[in-house]
Amino acid sequence: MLSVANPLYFFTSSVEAPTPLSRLRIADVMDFFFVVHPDSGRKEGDEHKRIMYFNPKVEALDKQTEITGFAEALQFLREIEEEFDFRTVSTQKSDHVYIQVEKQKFILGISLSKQMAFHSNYPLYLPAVKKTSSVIPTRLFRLFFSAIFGSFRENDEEKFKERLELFFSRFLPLLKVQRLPILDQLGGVEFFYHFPGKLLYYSISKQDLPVLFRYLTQNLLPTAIAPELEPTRAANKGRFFYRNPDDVELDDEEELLERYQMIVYRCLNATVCMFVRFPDVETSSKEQIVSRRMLRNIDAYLETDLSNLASRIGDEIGGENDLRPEATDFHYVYFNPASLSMTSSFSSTSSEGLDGTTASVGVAKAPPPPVDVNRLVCETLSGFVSESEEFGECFAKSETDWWVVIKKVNSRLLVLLLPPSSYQQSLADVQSRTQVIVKSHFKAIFFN
Amino acid sequence: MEIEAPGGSESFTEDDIQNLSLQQIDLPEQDAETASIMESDETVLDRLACLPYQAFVLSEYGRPIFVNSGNEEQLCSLFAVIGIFVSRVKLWGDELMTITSKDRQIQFLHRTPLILCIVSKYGEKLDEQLEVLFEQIVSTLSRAQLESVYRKKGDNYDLRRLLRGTDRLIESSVSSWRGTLSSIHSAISVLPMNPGDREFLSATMSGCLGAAKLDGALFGVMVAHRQIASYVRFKNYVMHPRDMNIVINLVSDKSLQVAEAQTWTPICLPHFNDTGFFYAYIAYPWEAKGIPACLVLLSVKRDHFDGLNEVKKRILFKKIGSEREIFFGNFSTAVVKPNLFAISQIGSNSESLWSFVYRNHLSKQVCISASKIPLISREERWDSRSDLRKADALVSKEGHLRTLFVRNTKNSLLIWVTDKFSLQCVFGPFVSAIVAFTVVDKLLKSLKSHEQRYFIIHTPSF
Repeated sequence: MLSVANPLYFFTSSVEAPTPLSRLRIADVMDFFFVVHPDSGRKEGDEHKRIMYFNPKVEALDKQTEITGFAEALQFLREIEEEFDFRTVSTQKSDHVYIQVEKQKFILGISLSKQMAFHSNYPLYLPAVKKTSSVIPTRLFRLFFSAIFGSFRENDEEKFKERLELFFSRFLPLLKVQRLPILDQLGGVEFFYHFPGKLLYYSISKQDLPVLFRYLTQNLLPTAIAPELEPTRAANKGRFFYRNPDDVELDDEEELLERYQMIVYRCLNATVCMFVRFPDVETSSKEQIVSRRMLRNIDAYLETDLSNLASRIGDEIGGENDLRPEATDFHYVYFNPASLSMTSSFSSTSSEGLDGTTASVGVAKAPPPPVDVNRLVCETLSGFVSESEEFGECFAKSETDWWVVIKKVNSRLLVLLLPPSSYQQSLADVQSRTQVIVKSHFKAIFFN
Repeated sequence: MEIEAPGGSESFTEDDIQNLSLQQIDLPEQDAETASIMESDETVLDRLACLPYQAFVLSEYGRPIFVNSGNEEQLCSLFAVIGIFVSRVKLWGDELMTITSKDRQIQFLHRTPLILCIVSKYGEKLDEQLEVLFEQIVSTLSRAQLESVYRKKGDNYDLRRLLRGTDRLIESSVSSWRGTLSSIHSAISVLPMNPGDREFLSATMSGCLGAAKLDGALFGVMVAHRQIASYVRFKNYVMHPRDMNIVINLVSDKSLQVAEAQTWTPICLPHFNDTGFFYAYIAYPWEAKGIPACLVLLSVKRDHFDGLNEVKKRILFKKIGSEREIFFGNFSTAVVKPNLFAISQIGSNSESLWSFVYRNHLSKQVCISASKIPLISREERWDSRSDLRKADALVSKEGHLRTLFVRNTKNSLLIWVTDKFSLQCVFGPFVSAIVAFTVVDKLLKSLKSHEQRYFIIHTPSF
C-alpha cells in the first residue's frame, strides 16, 4: 500500500472522472509507450536491456527490442539532420513521437494508431501529441520524480524500473487528449471564469504551471471527491493532502531546477498549492523545513478565509446569478500566452474531474465540430498564423459549411468554430458575425 | 452562384481506351564511371546539406543508385540507414512514410524494387515529388524492366549501369521542384498565345500527322519554356499531365537542343502504360533563329523516325506565304518574350492583388500570373511563392477546405476551392475580404474571356 505522502498514491485513485465528449483517453488510441536507456543495451545480445519501461506489457520482448531499436537508430540520421531532441515518424498505420530526455540519455516514445484515432474521431496532429504524451510526462518527471533518475544514477536499475512502472502504469490510463488538439498544443490553463477546477492565481514559473495544474486537476484533486462526499464530514474543515510534504523541483527564472516541498491544502472546493524552498544546506531534514507546527499555523491562517472564499464561489456557481455565460451557438478557444490563461467552450465541469456526477456540461450548444474541422484549426493556426507576429487573422471554410476563425491581437489568440448557418454564406458575413461575437462575448479580454 | 471555370472542361485523365500494348527494348548497359575528382566524405555531406532538396534513390537491398549531390559511393552508410528504416517498418507489416524533426522533413517512398527518399526544409507535398521522381526513373527503364532486371541480374545489381546518361534528367526533375510550385508536376502549364495562332499551329500539326497516316503515331506537342504551346492527339488518346511533364523534362535537357538536329529516343510514359516504350521524335526547328521551341512527336513504332521527320518538314513548311509569316512572327514573339497573365488587365482595384495561381481541376491546366510590384526582388518573389506553396499543400491535404482568407503583416492570402477549380491569391496586407472577392470575381471573368490565350480549350485529334 502506498503512503498518501507518495505522489504516486494519487495515480492509484479508483475515482476516475468520466471522460467528456471533448476529450479522449490516450490509452484508447495508443499502440505503445516506452522509456529506453540506449547505453544499457549497447552490447550485442543485450539490446533488450535498454528497455526500462514498455507498455503494453503483452508485447513480445523481441518486438519491444525492435521497436525501441528503431527509435534509437533515428540518431543515425544526424548526418543529414543534426538536431535530435525530438522526432515524429509517420507510417501508413501509425504516428509516433520520440523525444530525448535527461541530457539525451533516455528516449521516450509513443505510437498512436491511425485506425483507432479514426474510429475515435480524434484528429491525429503530431505537434499536439508530442506535447501531451511526451512533454507532459517529462515535465512531470522534472517536477516530482527526479528521484526516479536518481535511483538510476545510483545504479539501482531494478528500483528505477519499478518506479517507472508505478508512475506510467497509473499515469497513462489517466492521460487524456483533447479532440481539438490545439487545446493541448497551446498548453494553457483555464482560469477561474466559469467553473471550479480553474485557476485563480499563481506565482510559480510559467514553464511549470500547465503541467502542475494538469497534475492537480486530473490526478490529485479527483481523490478529494470520495472523502468530501461523506455526509459525516465537517464540510467546511480544511485539510492537507500531503501529510508529509513531498519534494518537487521547480524552474527558477533562469530555468534551473530548484528543490521545493509541496503542500496542498483544500477547503470546500478551493485548493491552495504552496511550495517551500529547500535551504541550500544539505544537512537540513524535511521535518525541519515543513514542521507540524507550520502546517498547523497554515491551517489556522487559511481555514476561515479559504472557506469563506470557497463559499462565495459556491454561492455564485450554485445561485441564480450563475457565472456560467449563456450557452453559445458557436465554439471558442481564447488563449493569452502572457498569462497562459485559456478558456474554451470545450471545457465542462466534469472535465476537471471535480464532481463525478456531471457528465459533460459544455458551455456551447453548438454541435461538436467534425474531426476534419478540428484538424483544419490546427493546420491553419500552425501554417498561416505566425507565432512570432503579434497580429494576424484567418478565416477558413470547410465543405460542411463550418467556418474556422482565428484572430490574433497583441499575441492574444481567439479561435471560433462556427457551425453551418444560413446567415453566414460569405466571408463578409462571417467577418461581421465575428465582430459581433468579439463585442458581445470577448470585449473585456480581447480587443478587436 | 454558378461560377464559370476558365480553362475548359476537357478531361486530361481519361484512360478508358488506352489499352494499347507497347514494345519493350533492350537497354544498353554502361560501366559505372568513377568520380573524376575524389572528395572527402565530409565534403560530400556538406555539399549535400546545402541543397534545398536532398534526394536519394536506392535498391531495396540498399545499393545506392542516385543522390543529387553526386558521389553515391561515398554515402553508402547513409543509403544503408535509409534502406534499413524502410525494410524494418515493412517487416512490421507497415510502410514508413515520414520522419520529421524541428526543421526538416524526410519523406520515404517504397516502390518495388526501389526505395526513394527526400530530405527537405520545405515539407510540402514531398510524397508527390517522390512519385514524380519514381516516374522519371520509370520513363527511362519502364516498370516492367525495372522489376525484371533484379530478377535476372541479382539483388546486388548496380542499376546505375542502365541509368548512366539519364541521371541528369533525374537531376533536372529534382532541381525543378525548387523553381516551380509542386502542383505544376501534376498539371499542364500553357504558353500564352494568340488564340488564332494556337489554332493555326494545332491545326497544322494535327493535319500533317493525320495526312501521314502513320499507324502508331499518337501525340504531337510543341513545348517552349517548359510550357505547352500546342498539343494534338490521335483519336481520343490522352496524355496524363505527369507524363507530359516527363516529356517536358526530357526536351528541356540542353544536350538535345542542337539546331537542325533531330533526336529519336525511347521513352516510357508511366501513366499511359508503364510496361513499354514510346519513341519520341524531338526537334528544335528554330533554335538557329534563337527561338527555344521544341516539337515532339510520339509514336509507339520504332521505325517511324523517317515518317515523323517528314511530318516535321510538312508542319514547318505548310502554307508558305503570308499566313505562315504572320504566324511565325507572332509565335516567335510569344516564345521569345513570353507574356504571362498581367494582373493589371483585370481593371481597377487590381492593385491590391499581387500574384495568383489558378488551376482548372478537369482540364488539369494552370495559369500562373506574372510577378508584379511590390514582388520585385528575388526574396520577395520567393516569399510569395512559399506562401502559395503552403496554400497548395493545405488544399491537397485538407480536401474539404473551400475558402481560406489569411491576413498578416506582410500580405494577405486567399484560397478558393470549388469542384471545378482552385484559386490561390496573394494580396496586399490591407485588403478587406469584400475587396478581395470583388477582385477575384473580376479575375475569373477576365480569365474566362481570355481563356483561349492562357489555356488549351480544345485538343484537336487526327
